[in-house]
Amino acid sequence: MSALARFRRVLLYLLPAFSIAVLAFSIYLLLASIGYMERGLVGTSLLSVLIGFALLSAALYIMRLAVYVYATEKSS
Amino acid sequence: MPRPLVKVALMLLGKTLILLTFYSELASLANTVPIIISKGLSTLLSIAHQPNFLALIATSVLAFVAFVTGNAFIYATAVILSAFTCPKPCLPLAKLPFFIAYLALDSITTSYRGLEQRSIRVRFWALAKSVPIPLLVIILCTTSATIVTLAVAVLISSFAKVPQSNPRLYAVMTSPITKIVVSLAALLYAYSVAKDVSEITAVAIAPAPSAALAELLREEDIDVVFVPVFRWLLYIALAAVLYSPVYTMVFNILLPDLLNYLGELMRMGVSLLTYILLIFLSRSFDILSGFYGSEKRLTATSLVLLALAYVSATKLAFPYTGWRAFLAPDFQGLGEAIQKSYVDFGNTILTLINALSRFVGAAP
Repeated sequence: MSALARFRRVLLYLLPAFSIAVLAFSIYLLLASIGYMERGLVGTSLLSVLIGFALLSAALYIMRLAVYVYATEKSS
Repeated sequence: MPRPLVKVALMLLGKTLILLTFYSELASLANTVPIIISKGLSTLLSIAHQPNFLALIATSVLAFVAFVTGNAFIYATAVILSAFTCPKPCLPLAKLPFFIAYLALDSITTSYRGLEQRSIRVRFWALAKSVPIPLLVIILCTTSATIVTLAVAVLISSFAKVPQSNPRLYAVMTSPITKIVVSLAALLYAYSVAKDVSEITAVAIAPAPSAALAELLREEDIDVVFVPVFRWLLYIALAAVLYSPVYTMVFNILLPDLLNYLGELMRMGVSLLTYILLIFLSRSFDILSGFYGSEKRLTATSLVLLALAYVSATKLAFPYTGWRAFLAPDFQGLGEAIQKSYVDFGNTILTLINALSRFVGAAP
């Protein structure tokens, strides 16, 4: 029983950690896109800004799931 | 009996607020409408040589619609669009307080039922505790939206640093239309980010277990397949690919008499309408857009397009082979016609882009 409880506690932290990792990667891509644009690589810059925005959306979605899971766990 | 009176008074107050917000735009609309009526639309188009003027017209029309209907969403759109009416995109600071006041008034109007006033008692400590929570939500979502907007603003400002060795690309990147499109997309994206962040903060601060469980159990809201942002750009491109075959089949082969009967302007309107319809139709080719239930739309659209191709190929072969055309449709002729229309469409698009960049002053 205690192993299961510990596993659940790890799972609670898994989603936020994953979300923050994706968020960091998306911020890196957004900064990199500005750098590419300054160097005149237009296509690379637009592609990386698109990927960055998509990853930002993904990070926010994972964070939303994590928050709902946290709120559900709060009662039990 | 005072209920309708109070409601009417609140509604009148809201309309006064809209009038106060957009009095200059509404005045300019009142000035331009007689010109349009007396001299026709073409005069207006010849006056409108800059995007600011187009934004001004769109804002004033939206403001008039908001004034008539009292719709808060149209009001918000008009306020956002009014940022583009000045020579450089600027924040409509004078309009924002009116808009916030109108939003407060709108929620009062919709929830006020009259004659149901009663007092409630709140402890001071609870009242003091209730202030920082909404404040934190607002601060966090505003900050994230501002960061997104700032990132896009830096990106737009670095458009000008694109090497001038490629003058055509330079002209496209620094044209006002590109900037307006990118800023509008950034605005929409910043709004969605702010919405998500506010939801996350609110749930994290005040967790409600039963509501959260209900949210987690709602399948269509949680099982979201990955949806890339800025999907509509893809739809516009896909519609451009689909446009020439559909237009050739429907208007050149199946209904040529109707097209010849129409005037030049009507023909342009019909083709524009076809293109807009195709943008919406190409959503059904997007397998990723909705994982559940999109296969029906995909099947229906593909079958309709196949049937259209079969019927038009049959009509092409009918004068030569008679009733046997139903068994041997002329797909070769159809393919040649579609190929010709692709070439025509590409030429038209290139001419249009050239004319548009001259129109906004991006190219000589």
